[in-house]
Amino acid sequence: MFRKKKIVFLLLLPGLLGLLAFYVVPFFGGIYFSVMDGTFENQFVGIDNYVRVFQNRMFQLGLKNTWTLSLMCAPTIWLLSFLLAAMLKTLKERSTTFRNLLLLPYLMPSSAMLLIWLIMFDYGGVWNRLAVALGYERVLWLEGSALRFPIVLLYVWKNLGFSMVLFSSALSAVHPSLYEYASLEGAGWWTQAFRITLPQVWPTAFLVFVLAWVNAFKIFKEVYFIGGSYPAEEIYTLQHYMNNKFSRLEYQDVTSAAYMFELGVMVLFAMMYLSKAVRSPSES
Amino acid sequence: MKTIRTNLLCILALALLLPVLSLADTAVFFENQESDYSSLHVADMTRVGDTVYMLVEDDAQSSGLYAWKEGQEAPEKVGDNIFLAQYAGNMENLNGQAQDGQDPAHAVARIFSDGESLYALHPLSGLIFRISVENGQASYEDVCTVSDLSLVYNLDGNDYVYLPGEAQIAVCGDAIVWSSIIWNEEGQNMLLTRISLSDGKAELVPTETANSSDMNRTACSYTADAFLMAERDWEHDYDSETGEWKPYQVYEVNPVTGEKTLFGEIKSSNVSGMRYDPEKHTLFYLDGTKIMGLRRGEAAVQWGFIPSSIYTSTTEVIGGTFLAADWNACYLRNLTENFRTDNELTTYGVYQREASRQFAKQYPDVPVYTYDGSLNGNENVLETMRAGDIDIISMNIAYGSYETFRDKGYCMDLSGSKVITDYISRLYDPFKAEAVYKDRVVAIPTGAYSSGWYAFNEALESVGLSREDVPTNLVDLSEFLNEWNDDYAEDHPDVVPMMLYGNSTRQTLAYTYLEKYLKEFDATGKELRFDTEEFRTVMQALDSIRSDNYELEMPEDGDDEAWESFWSRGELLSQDYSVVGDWYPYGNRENMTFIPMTLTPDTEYHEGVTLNMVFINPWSKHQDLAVAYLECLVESILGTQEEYTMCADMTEPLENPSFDRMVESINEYIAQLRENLDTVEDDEQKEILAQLLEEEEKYAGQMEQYRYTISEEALKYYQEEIASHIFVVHSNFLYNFDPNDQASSEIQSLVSRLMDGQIELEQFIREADGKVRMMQWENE
Repeated sequence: MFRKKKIVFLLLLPGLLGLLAFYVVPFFGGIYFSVMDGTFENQFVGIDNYVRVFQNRMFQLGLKNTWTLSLMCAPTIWLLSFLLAAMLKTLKERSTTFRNLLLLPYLMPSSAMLLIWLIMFDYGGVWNRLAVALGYERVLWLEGSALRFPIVLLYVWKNLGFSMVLFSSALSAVHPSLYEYASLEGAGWWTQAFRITLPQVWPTAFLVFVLAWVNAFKIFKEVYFIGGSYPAEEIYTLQHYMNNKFSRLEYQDVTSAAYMFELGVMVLFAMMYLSKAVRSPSES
Repeated sequence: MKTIRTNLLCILALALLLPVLSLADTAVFFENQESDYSSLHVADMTRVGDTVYMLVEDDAQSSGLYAWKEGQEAPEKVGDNIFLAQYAGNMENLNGQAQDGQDPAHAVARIFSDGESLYALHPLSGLIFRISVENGQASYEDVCTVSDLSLVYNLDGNDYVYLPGEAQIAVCGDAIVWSSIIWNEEGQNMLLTRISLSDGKAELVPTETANSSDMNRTACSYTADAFLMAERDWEHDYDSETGEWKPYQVYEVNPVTGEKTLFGEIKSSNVSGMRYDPEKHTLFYLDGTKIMGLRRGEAAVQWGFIPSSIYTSTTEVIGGTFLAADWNACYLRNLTENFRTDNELTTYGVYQREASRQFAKQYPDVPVYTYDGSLNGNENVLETMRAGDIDIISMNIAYGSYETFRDKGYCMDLSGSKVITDYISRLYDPFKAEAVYKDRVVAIPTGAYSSGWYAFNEALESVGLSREDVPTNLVDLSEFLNEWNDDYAEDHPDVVPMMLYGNSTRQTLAYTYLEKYLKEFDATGKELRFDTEEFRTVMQALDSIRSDNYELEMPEDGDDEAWESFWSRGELLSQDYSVVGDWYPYGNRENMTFIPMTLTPDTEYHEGVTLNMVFINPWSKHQDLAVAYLECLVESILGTQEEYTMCADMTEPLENPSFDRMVESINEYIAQLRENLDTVEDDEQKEILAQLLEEEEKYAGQMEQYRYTISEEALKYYQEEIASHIFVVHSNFLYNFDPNDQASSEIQSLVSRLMDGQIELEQFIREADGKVRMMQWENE
């Protein structure tokens, strides 16, 4: 038994070392940065950096926008991917083909997709021409708060396939007899989807939910590519704040901001995880 | 056991001796004393057998041939009558320059050797001749004349002949290969020409790059059948993705067949002074201050160093000695393969050759290298500093991130050095403020510079205007330009308000107006905003400029007549002359009047100065040496124009050290002209000489104005009119070219779009203000 565990440990060791070197150590190293003043003398300042950063209006703006964008993106992804996965399950033929097609955007390089988006949402682009054809006014999609829409759309389009694949795997494990019983009881498609399918796949749903949120928090490079370091106030995210501070060597502010955000996210996920429905789907 | 002990003792002895062996012996010949124009300079050198011959001149253009052998303390003059004349232009000038005993027909432009004889190339005629020296006199034996001068010289259409600068000569058996940059009708071309020593026949070496405008090339002698050539494409010499220079490819080239064989690669930003040593089978070259050696098929290793970078190819190798010469000195260093030393300094962005030379006198065994990597962005610089890879850094306040580094404490405290603190205490307050942080001196300011507006009095008078008509703010400047366009341009086609270089007046002035606006906030310490009445007023003034009646398109390349017409136009105003940094305009105030230009009629005059700061890396492993270097930097500033620019306590004028020589020279020339006038018979020549004499005598009468580099009057003007308005320009988006600073790029992009008319002013104001406000809020 001990020998078996030893072998397992040895096999896991390279990965664990990597995790230690590239995640755990930097994590605690970052905490060190956040409590020092960052000058050559490098003096301990306690939580002064945290207080100063928290009071900074750009940090607050970035935090607010990050949560807003995440709220717009994550639930959308979660719901759409679940529905798509459920629909695909009902397809006997060509479900694999559709699944693969939906996964394609995930594999495309972001820069290529951004270029396409820039062309589509340009003032004279496809969207505006369609709007004009339908009798509406053109919109400056790539400027100001209007940029949120293309960004959310891009995020959903890119990440939908991957989330759907995760749901598909979980759905394939749901026993068909449950649906038979439900049909016999007169349950329709929607009822089956939300009363049978969803509870059965709740751990996966939670995983998809977490991933959707985490990826939504990382919406930065798309906004940065289009809007730059200082885009419109409505789409200035926390990553902008950290990126700009980093280029000015203000590592204290970067780490303080990151850990404060990390704390908020951990609290959120902890609350969700503590929910019985997540931990014990069968009991729910 | 005994054998092991002996071996160990030998190894220990060697280990102890090795550091000693690594120390390169040094010597310096012909060291130039600053502004001492009787100092000698090595113009060229070559090795014949066990002797290095040097062509040496002084600024009086007297010259001689010197010879040096290893072990000698100093070179010995062996040819008193050698006539060094590299840039005569034509025979008339050459004859005029020749002194007693010098033979213009055997004037020397370059020397070279086949190992047995000393040869020379004439500066004009293409004559190649041998030089022999006996009893301090040189004698000559003609060898051949180059058949096609256009492959060797720059031939000016006005019958002037110029030797190309930095040409290299490689000797291959009975021919030489001349590698040079020649200017002709096609423009600039890098030519590789084979010249036969038997009949002077000149033809291009038959390689695909022998006539190329794309190659950066240097060559040197190798064997009787081949020469060595290092080449790199100009346009693709730097990989911006990796931040590395692409290597030079070094080839052995047969000059007859053009066949190339790869010898090796040189990974360096610049290669100069190549010399092949057959005894060591090594190609030596200079990489900055490093003496490098490359063997066939191997990587290059260091063999020594020279005190400061030189920018010529005047080098030679003899025995175990490397010689490298430029205008300032001829350095000798012993060669040690795999040269290493524990004490060295590495600088980044520092180009202070005088300081390096002075440092080398105090610390001859401590090399000063230039960091050869590329540092993109503050993070890279900081990482490199933390690693201790650079010791001394130079950053410009406006164009770099000095303030960021200073405020983070990344500049070492220099308060322990009396030399440095004394200098800082003498500075004008704005300069002092940048050097001191939390009551500690942390950097040395150097290189203060600003340019501004001047009016040309003669041009103004020629069109019936005076100094009082010249505007003193940018809003009035727009009106002045429009008035010129509407009322004066047609009547005065040979005068323009400003000389433009291909852009319209509006385009030229766009950045001027914007820069002035930004500087106004910098000077007053207010937070930058574009949503102001002043900005709209200034931009509207810019937009209103009309210039269609006097703007000229840039002439086509090669259209000499059009170019002559273009440049011959007088200009009323210029914004390109120095206000702070270069004292020339202050000594020329009869012809040029400084205009303290303000932004609007209601704003005050401020003189924004860009300032360079040199500081020491606090993680440096050689802090004491770095401080010593900075003290040498301070010493190199004292007694120069820069001291007058920077220090508030100057009271005495700065004498022109070459004044006596200038007076002597012009008097000699006048005497020569008088003599020629008495002897010439041709009437036309007599008239020309008489005119020339009159001009020279008039010039001689005005010599007194050149007695001082900085006169009392100029000094007083600077102190009273300029210095009190100085402020140091800080980094802003117009100047910031940090590739990682996207914010600046974005605003620069907005500016371009505004200037090109892609966006309206209000949109620019809205977007730019938004970005600027966010930047300011981030830093709260």
